[in-house]
Parts: sequence; C-alpha cells; structure tokens
Amino acid sequence: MIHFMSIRVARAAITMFLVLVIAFVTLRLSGTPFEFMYPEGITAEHQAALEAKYGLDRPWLEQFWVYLTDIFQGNFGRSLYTAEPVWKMYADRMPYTLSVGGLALLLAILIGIPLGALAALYRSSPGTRVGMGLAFLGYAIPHFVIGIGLILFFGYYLRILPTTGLSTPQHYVLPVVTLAIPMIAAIARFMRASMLDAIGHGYVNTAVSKGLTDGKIARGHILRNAMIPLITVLGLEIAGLLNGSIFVEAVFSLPGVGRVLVDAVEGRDFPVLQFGLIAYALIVVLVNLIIDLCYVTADPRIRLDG
Amino acid sequence: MVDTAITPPRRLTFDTLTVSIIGLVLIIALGVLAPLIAPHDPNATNLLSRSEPPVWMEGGTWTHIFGTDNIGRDLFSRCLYGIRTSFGIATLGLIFSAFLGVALGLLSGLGGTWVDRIVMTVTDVFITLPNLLLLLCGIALLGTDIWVLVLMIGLIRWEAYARLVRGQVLALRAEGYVEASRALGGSRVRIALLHILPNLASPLVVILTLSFPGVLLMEAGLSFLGVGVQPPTASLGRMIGDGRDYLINAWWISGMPSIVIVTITLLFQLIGDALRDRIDVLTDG
Amino acid sequence: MANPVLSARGVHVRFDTPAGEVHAVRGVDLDLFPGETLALVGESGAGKSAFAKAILHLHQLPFTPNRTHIDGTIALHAPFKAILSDADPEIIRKARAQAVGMIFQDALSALNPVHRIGLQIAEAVRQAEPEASADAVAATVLDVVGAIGLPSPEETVNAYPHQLSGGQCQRVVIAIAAVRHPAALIADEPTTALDVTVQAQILKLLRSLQELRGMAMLFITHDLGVVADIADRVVVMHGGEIVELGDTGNVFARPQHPYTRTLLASRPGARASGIAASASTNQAQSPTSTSSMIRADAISFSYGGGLFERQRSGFVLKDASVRVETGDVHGIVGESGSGKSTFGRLLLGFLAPSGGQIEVCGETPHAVRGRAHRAFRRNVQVIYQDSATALNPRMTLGRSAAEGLEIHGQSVAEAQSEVRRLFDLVRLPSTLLERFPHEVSGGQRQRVCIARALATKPKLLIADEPVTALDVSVQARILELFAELKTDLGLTMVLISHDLGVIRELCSRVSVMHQGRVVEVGPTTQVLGNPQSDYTRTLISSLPTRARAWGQDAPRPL
Repeated sequence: MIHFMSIRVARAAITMFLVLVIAFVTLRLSGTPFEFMYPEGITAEHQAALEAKYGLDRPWLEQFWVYLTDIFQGNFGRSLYTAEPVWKMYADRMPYTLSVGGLALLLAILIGIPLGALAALYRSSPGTRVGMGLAFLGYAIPHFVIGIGLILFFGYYLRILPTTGLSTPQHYVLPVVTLAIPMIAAIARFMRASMLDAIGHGYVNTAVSKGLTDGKIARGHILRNAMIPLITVLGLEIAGLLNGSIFVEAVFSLPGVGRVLVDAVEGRDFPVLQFGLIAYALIVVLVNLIIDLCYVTADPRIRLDG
Repeated sequence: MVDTAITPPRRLTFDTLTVSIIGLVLIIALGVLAPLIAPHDPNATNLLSRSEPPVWMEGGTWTHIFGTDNIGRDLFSRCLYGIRTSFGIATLGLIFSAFLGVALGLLSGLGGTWVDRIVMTVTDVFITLPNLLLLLCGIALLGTDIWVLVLMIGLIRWEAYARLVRGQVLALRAEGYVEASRALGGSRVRIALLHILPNLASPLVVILTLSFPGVLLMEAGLSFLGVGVQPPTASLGRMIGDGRDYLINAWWISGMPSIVIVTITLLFQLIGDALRDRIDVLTDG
Repeated sequence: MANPVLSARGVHVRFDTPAGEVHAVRGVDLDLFPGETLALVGESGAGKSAFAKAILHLHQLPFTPNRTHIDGTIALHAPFKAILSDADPEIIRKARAQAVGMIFQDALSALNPVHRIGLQIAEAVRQAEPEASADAVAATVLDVVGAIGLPSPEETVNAYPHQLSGGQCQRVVIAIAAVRHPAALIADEPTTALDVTVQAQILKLLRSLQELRGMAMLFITHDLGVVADIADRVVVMHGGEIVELGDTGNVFARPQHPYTRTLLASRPGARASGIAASASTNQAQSPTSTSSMIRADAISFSYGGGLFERQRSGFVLKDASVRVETGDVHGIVGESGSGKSTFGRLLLGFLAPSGGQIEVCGETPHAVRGRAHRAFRRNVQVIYQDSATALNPRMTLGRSAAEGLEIHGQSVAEAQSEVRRLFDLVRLPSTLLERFPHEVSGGQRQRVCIARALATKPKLLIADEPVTALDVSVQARILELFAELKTDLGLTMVLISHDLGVIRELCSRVSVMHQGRVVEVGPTTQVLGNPQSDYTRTLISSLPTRARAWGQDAPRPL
C-alpha cells in the first residue's frame, strides 16, 4: 500500500512539475508584457532596461527558478487588464464552480451507480432498455446542447426554473443537472459493463454452488467487485467535470471561473490563464490521489501487497 | 467461455450498424458537397428575412428550410458548411493524433525499458492534465487559425492511442508467433509491420471511431465558447453559441445546429458500440 | 448395492451459441452410489464438464439469459430428495446449499478476491445451517480450515485469496464444498491446474475427507493417471455419450470400447519406450564426440527491479549448469516456477543471464550479432506450448510456415515448393496451405509450428511444453512425429516439460530443475528409475500410482 501510494504521489509531483513547466513556457512564449504596458511603442534601450528590471535577460533556467519561488510564495502575478492579483480573481469565483461541480458529482454517483447496476441485473426488462437508451443519449450529447435544451424546456416553455446566474437554490438546478447528465450516463454505462464482467467470474460460480440466493450473490459478489474498477473511472470523470463546468458556466452565465478563463484566452491575459492551468491541474491531481487512496482501501490485492 | 459480453442479437447489431453508417455517409456527403447543394451563400445576410422559423413552423418557408438567423443568413446552408468545417478539423486532428499515438505506442512497446518508461510517464501525466485548459493556453498563444486547432487537438488526443497501441504491442509481443519470428531472425521492423500492426488495426479502428465524436465536440465546444473557428466561417459550435442570445424568440438559431451535432455524435456512438461488440465477439472466440 | 445418491437418466445438454445449437451431452445414464468415487474421463469436448455442471444447473449464471437446455431426469435421493431437472430454482438452490458440493478447476478464480477466506467459508456454512449463531459458524469455519490442512487456521481465515498459493486456494474451495457435509461432491478437474506434487496432496485430502464423511464423489478429469489413483469406477465419455463404464481395474485391464483403448494407449509412459532407447543408442554411437551443442555453466538469472517496480525477490535461475551433446535429446523437467522456461529463453538469447556462461551452437546467444546472428537464428529453432497463439491469425498456414525462408532470403517460388515439402514432412495435407489457424485443430497447428521451425534446417530444436495443451491422443501423435524427425534429420533437441511421461518417452538424458537449480542430471532411465536427489524422488512419488508403474519397471542400472 505504501509502495503503491508513493508511486502515485511521485507521479502527481511529476504531473504538477510538468504543468508548471508548460505554464512557464506559455507565459514566456507569449512575449513580453511591455507591448501591452506601452501601446505607443518603446525604444530598444528602454526595453532592455525593462527586461533587466524584470529579470527577463537572465538565462531561462534561472528565470524558471525565480518563477517557481514566486509561485511557492503565493505570488502568481496580476491580470494584464485589471491589475487584480490573479489568485483573487479565482478565489472569488472558485466557490461557485466547485459547488456546482460537487453537486453534479454527487448527483451523478447517486443516480449513475444504481442505474448501471440495475441495468446489469435486469438486462432484458423494458425499464432497463429505456434507461440505457437514455444513458446512451446523455453520453453522446455535449454539455452546451443539453444546457440549451433544458433552458428551452424548463425555462422558456414550462417557465418553472430560472436560467441565468446562481442567486437562489433554484438557480442551481439546471446547471447541476446539465453537468451531471453526461456523467450519469458514463457512470451507468461503465457500471453496467463492470457488473456484467463480474457476473462472468469464477467466484460467482462458487457463490451459486454454495446455494446463495440471487440477492446475496448480487450484493456480496457482484456489486462489491464491480465497484473497484469504477473508482478509477470516477477519477477521469472528475477531470471531465472541470472541462464541462466551463461550458455550463458559459451557457447559464454563472459567476464561476469559466468566464474568467474564456475572457483570458480572448484577451491573451497569460498570467490569468497560467494560474487557471495550475489550479485546475492541482485539483485534478489531488482528486486523483484521493481516488487512488479509495482504490487501495477497496482492493485487498493492492492494500496488502502493492 | 463466458458469454456475458454485451452482445445484442446479431441481426439487430447488423441493422443498427448498417443504418448508422448509411446515415453518417449521407451527412458527410452533405458536408463535402456543401458548395454544390447549399441553396444560399452561407454568409449572405438578408436583413429583410431575419429570424425566420424553420419550414414546419408557422411563418416558415421552403426558401429557408431550417429558418434564418438574426441577420438573415440561411441556417440550412450554414449547417452544411458547418458540417464541412467541423468534420474537416476533427478528421485532420484525429489523423494527426492517431499518427502521433501509434508512433509513440509502438516506440514504447518495442523500444526497450527506458524508452517505455519515459513515454508511459508522459502519457500518465497527460491523462491527468486538464485537456481544455491546455487547449485554451495553446489557442491563446498561437491564435485561432484552423491549423492551430488541428495541431492542438492532435497534441491533446494522442495519449489514448499510445496507450492502446502499447498495450496491444506488449500483449502481441508475448504471443508465440512474434517470439517465433524473433527466433527465426525476423527484424524489429519486420515484426512491427508484419505481425503487430495488422493485428492492431481492428482495435484501432474501433477506438478511432469511438473517439471521433469527442474530437468533433472539442472543436464545436471551443467554437461555442468563441475561441475556436472565427466568423464568418460557419461552424456548428459557433452557431449554437451565437444563437444563445436569441433563445427566447428564435430557438432554432441554436437549435438546428444542435440537432445536427447530436445526430452526428449519436451515429458515431452507435457505430462505435456495434463495432466494439463485434470485436469482443471476435476476441471471445 | 445400496441405493444411489444421485442418478441421471437420459440427460441431454444443449447450448445456444451464435453459431447455432451445440449438443454437448447426448443421453447420459449414470448412478452415483454412497461413498464411491466415480471418475468421468474424456478429452476436451467430450461433454464431461457440461454434464457435471448440468447436475446443479451451473451453466446458468445469475442475472443472465438462459442459453442452456437440459433434458432428462437428474434425481437426488436420501437424505435430500429432489428431482433437479425440474428446474424449480428454490429446490436447486437448496440442493446446492445442503446436498451437493462443487469443486472447480481454477481455485484462485473460484474465490472472490475482495473477501477474506473465513467469510467465504462462513457463507457456505450459513447456507446449510441458517439458524447457527455467529459463534457457532466461526467455530465451524476454524474447524474446517484446520481439517483441510492449512497452517494456522486463525491466520488463514483472515487472509485474502491472493495471499495463498494455488494449492492452498484449492484446499479452501474444497472446504467450501465439504463444510456442509454434502452427500455428494462434484469435482471438475480439481487438480489440472496444479503442479504434480501439489496434486498428490490434494488427491490425498479429497480421499481422506471422503472416507471421513462417507461422501460420494463424481471426479471429472482428462488424466488417466489420476483416475487409476482415486476412482472406484470409471465412466468414459466421447462425443457427449458414455462409451464405457466399469470398475477402474477392469476398464484399465480390459477396455472394451475402441476409444477407451486409444485413450489408454496414448498415455505418456504407456507408450513404448523405444524412442528413448533409440536415442540412447544414437548417443552410444558417438560417445567420444566432444562437440557440445549447448554448454551452460553456472547460469544465474534474476529480473532487475526498476525505479517504479518492486524488487522481485530472489533468483529465477541459480548456478544452473546443463550440457547437451550434439545429436542428443535432452529433457528439462520441473514444476511451474522452477525456471525451466526461463532457461529456454536464455538458450534462445531472448534474455541475458545475470551470471555464468552460455554457449549454444558455438555462439553466445544474447550477444551474437550480424552475420553470425543470422546463422544462429537458422540453426536454433523453438516450438511453444500454445499453438493457438503461436501462429499469426491473419496469415495462412503456408505463409506462416514459410516465414523463416522469407527472412533468410528465399524467393517466393522456392519458398512455396519448400513449404509443400515441409508439410509432407510433418504429415499435413497440402490442402491446408491456404487455411488460417482458427480453421484447423490444435494438433494441426502444432505441426505447422514444427514445419516453420524446421524450414531453416536447424541443428538445435528447443521445444517448450510442446504437447501440454493438446489432448492425449493428439499428444501421442505429435511425440511420434518428434521421434521420427529426430532420427531422420539428426536434430539435437531440448525438450522442456513438466510431464515425466513425455520426458521419458523422448529424452535420452534429463535435467531435473527445482527452484532455479539443477538438482539432478543423467540418463533418463537412471534418473527416473533410481533418483538420487530428494526432490526427484518426491516428484516421482507424487505421480499417480498407475502412471508411476513404468518408472519402476524400467531396467535399473547395476
């Protein structure tokens, strides 16, 4: 277990390091900020003086070191437009993104797992067919189309739910559902396949020959075993959730970090973008570590040996 | 021996597969032939016929089957051109990433321990990186040219193929016929080309088919956010994004391209699932 | 005779498969009497497993559409009376829980990896005695774990399956089956996946449990040696039907049905030992020949642990020395994990030793380069166990056989006529040239592999378990082919096998490997007839008695 986790932690560290390198390279390749600071143009001497002042004339490796120390001291730079510290731009908006994402994740797990499990156990019932058909649809439709569909139906046709912003609890319904639907579909589909795989294993045969009832076999020998591979899939889904939140925030005009990111791309506001990259990567990496820890606890083969 | 593989009855699979492929070929043909078929210039504005509804709604005309957008452009023509743009970018991006992935996968599987370790660490890291954020950084850096999109999509997507290819190579390398070929003095190139690549082909086709809609949606998503394909070039994602402001009065501006996109991804999904079931059947015995 | 515990009348089993209906069991009548062991033998596809599973309806997985049709009557008698073929799920479930225990071939996969051993046994106890208190169940579990001969029961019940060895897992599966005191046990190839020394222990355990509890046992196997060892009566199945039934002694001594005779005649070791004899005469003709085909001196091998890999403990091979003279057929025998296959890969140069010297055909296999490498690859050829994966599924058999010719630069036309000659040589009709591997049988595929290996006119042939995956009657024919080729072509051969019968039939000399070391070397008759090392003695004594007989009737050296 310690061995397994130490590999994972090492890998997480490598990932973060690589992200920092990418962020640094992006920032430097984007050119110097002086064109932006002095739109009227600057002389060569002035530029050289500025470069010396900001340390841009030093070797790349040294610049990278300075960059790293800055980051570890919490100095992520300021937006080129508003001069606001970038961490504050994110800190103000991250709670919205995380709350919508967290609720969607919860919803997806609560619906997706039972849906997939039931679909595997009652393979030929009409309910299963309808459910998996819907899951199939949910898997194929992008967030922004789902969001627009829900706005049209619940917002404009039925007029029962608000469609923009996050001011009341009702405001959360549509964004959360939109974000959750593709995840529900993915979890249900994977859970179903995983259960069907478990049913084919030898230990199910043993359980049958012990004379266990179908219910006990399902709970003790199929469900439990099928959950283990599902854990790793959840890790990937959470990374997908962050992607999805950018679209959902755009569709519902939410005050989350998505808007900041898109604006930063359009305005080439690199300090903002690079912080976004680092923050998102950090979230994904931490979540994956937690997932790994769950995985280790759930599977005795790794817990005891790995 | 266990036949729990998710195989629907064979006839059904065949039918779904055939119908989906025909449908998809039709849509692709519409996109490719857009300049010949499109009833209107996709970028021609007509302020007299703004926000006209599709033909089956009250007030709709046959002149604009899908209706018109807020500045009077014909939505049907724009959808056709949009299919063209989206398919073009997605296909090129996919080819680029498949090429990259297969090459790295082969390198990893056949190149020896250290090469393998380096390539696999990079792939592992790539799988945890937030894709969309990398794309956004790349676009901010290089601009929104179509070739930038192709390049970035390719660079983001290769990891799944590399993994698949490496896994298959490792499995195939332990197969008796690969060892036998080594024992006969077959070179690495011979083994890779004669024994490994042909046996990789079918899983690769399946995973490419399955991942095509993802690539398509990546382009559509970026365009939807306004950082992908730039106007006036028609793109399905951009059309959906631009129509958002008119949802109350003219839902079809977003709705028609949405329907087109969903149809395409569904068809791909159906084909991919059917293909995967078949491969499973093949490998099960 | 007493009333049977279990009786079957006119049982048919049919499966729906995508390729159409398969009629696996065709009208079986059978009685299983209290306390007896009835062996059900036959080759793969004979319908023996299909019949055994049909008794408890185990074809039908839970939550899965039924694709199996069972006709006829299967009845359980006292103390638990039921007509199992009536397919009332609740009655069948009760029969599984209380009356009949089932033991599977692959023990590790028969246990659930995420549950502790104790819990998995306790589940079975609770099925038989639903009212038992938790303490009583725990006590029963501890009892049975002790009874099946696992060390420290208290620790074992808290262990997970992957922490036990294959043999220990099989003991647990037996405990699960036997803990309910069933009237009958059905054991489906329970020792096939195990090494021969472990197999002997498991058979002993089954026998003692059976005597202790007076259970009847239906023992399904393809191994006639095991049958002779354990069964009171034997049933031979072929093509879904029973072709012979009788007391074990009678059937072995006076087989009535032609199929039974073929089966008995194809047992390794039952066959004439003329081949090995001729091999030793070969050797006798050139006793002073100093040209060793293989010299391996004090070879060691271990897998290196990488940055992210766990250091694997210990050596796969340790100071193994083997010398094979030109023209010899040398056997390497050992159980799984003995390092014998690793040794084969070292000979081919696919692995480099971590210590010691290897010379094969005058070259160092892992270091040979360039022109010498090409010559080495022509001279040293290999044949693997699994013919199903040994041929590229996308190449015709003719193309596969011609691969060596292509690599070594023959034109297509030359290669084609050469391949026809090779197919002749391995007794394959040339009509198969354009077929694909999945269209022919396992024996035919193995012949193609042999043809491919012989195409480059090798001097040395390394065969790694070449007949293990084949049915016995096919085994016999392949071994005959090897013997002929050896004499006709003057090949030097290294035969790697776990099967002493195969080794004895073909090899003039043998090296016995155990835990990475060569524990004994010598002429086959001498090593097997008068073993010097403890391990060789254990190996031979673990063989089922009947199969052991030939070891003793071999002429002993003075």
